[in-house]
Amino acid sequence: MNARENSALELEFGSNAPPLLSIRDLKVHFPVRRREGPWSIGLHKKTSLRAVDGLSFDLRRGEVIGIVGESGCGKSTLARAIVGLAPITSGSVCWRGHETVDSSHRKPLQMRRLRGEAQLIFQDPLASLDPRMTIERIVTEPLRTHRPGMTRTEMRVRARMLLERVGLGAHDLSRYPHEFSGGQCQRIGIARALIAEPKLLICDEPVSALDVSIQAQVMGLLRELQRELSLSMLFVSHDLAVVQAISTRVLVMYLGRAMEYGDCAALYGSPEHPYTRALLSAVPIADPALERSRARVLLKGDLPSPIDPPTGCVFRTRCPQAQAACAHTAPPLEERGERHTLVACFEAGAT
Amino acid sequence: MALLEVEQLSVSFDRRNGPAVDAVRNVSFALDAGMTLGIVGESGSGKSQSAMALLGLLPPNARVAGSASYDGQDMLRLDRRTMNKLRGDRIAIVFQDPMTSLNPFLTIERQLTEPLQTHRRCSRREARRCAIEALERVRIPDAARRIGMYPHEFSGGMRQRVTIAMALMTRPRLLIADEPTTALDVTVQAQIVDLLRELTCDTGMAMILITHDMGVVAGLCDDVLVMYQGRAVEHADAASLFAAPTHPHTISLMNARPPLKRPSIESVPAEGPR
Repeated sequence: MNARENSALELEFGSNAPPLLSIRDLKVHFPVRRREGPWSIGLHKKTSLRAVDGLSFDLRRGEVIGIVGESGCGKSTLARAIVGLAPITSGSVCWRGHETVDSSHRKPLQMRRLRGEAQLIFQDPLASLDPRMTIERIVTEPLRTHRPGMTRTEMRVRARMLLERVGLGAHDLSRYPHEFSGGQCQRIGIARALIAEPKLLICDEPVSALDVSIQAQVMGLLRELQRELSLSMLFVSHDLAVVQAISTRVLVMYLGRAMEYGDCAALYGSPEHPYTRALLSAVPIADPALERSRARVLLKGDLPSPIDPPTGCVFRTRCPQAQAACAHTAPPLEERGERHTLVACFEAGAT
Repeated sequence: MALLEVEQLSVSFDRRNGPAVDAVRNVSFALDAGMTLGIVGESGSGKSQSAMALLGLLPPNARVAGSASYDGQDMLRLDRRTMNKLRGDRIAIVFQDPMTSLNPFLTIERQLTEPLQTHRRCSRREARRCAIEALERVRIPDAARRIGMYPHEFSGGMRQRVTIAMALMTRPRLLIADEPTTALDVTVQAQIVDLLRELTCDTGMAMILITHDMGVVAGLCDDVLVMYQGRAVEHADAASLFAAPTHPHTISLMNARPPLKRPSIESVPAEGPR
């Protein structure tokens, strides 16, 4: 989004309007039972899997926050927790200035409001459509829930309009999901997400299951729609190039924590955190000479278990710059250097 | 003489109702020892089916035409016995999904030593020693202990390294890797790509790499075959293909991925762990 649109939005909402979505110190821990001795039944130890461990950020109108990280870093859990599909252990999710979950963990009215105004697009296009429903029923379902006053004809008109917008035809309304390809199913998913005019679109790996050429088409469509409707988006993906193509800001996650957060161009242009650097350098370059000669930051080994994360900085076990101090305290996410990205690393900005 | 010479390979599938579907049409290529050929294309372009045809792994309704000469014998016309001697011994394959290509009920040791016991009549102890070596070669830490574990106890990247170790047990002369890194994270993909490059350099093994990721092709392949709707639309060495792609489909495959703007290469510190 450019500066002019930004100032127009500020005029409309006032520069200190509350952010659309505001997340503070969000934690999602799943209880797990761990076997202590071999095959013994009585010796289970109750512990927790820290999928999301203390995340905070604000999402303003028209902004797209990309969330990247390796599989198992908690990025999907974060997306699901925001809409109440995963239980929140502590912290708060505020939708337009109001808490969606109260201290007693019941879902108050604000959650219903959020669910009407936030929609999800899932990774597996076919699995996210009910095989026994026609496309019309699938696409109009959000309207039946959130716009109870609407007549069937109005719904059909809107469904037809949206299907055409995402590149399908009116004749597809009476067909079933299995008659469509993966890319088409994802377009249907997008139409369903947009029909109730959401303010926030949460995309959980929306193109990861698609073929490369189809990926490009679906990404193009999402970007067009985002601009046209000035949608706010949370865009979760493991694919750094895809996230860069659509995001205004990017959050890099590792083992449930934020490693780096900031403006998309600044973060990709001069990453401060060693993990962001390693991620970026792992993406292959489509140029044989360059690809074979460049120095890469290769990470050792695998992601540690989120049940038993390392002490101090969670990344230190794979970090090329780890110091002794990293084992004691976790570095806070703060501004380091002059790039205006927030970095959780003691070493960043030091040089 | 080339290690593998494929001439006019075609694959079609008979259907109960309707005409046969042509999956691969008249594809030819040759592969020398120590070389890597990349076969790229979208899903449904016939890249996997060509490899499966070479190994005789197609379903019964498939018809294969053409010839594929490996070591003087035509792989497409071998009887089952001879084929079984070749598969998993001189020619090995690594599949995309490391979970479904490992048997969840068997320990890694059983699965790794199977090719040696079948093809080499190795003793158990000898096979176990080789298996531990193979795991170390694909950089699985603590291999002697890990060998007794089951596939579910490994992460995705480790499982893929186990399947690569398994393919390499008999020191094959040709490795077919069918989207070996597609299911993995970029960081793990980088590890596997480096590993495969090292292995082809060190052992003189030839490799057919099937993928849709032009970046992986750039990192590994000497020659590239671009497939589209069952046909080979472009076949060139990697350097000239990336410098000047000629077929519109090659160009669109290259442009399908959004370009990743990244920090200049020099600014990436080189002191990272190997």
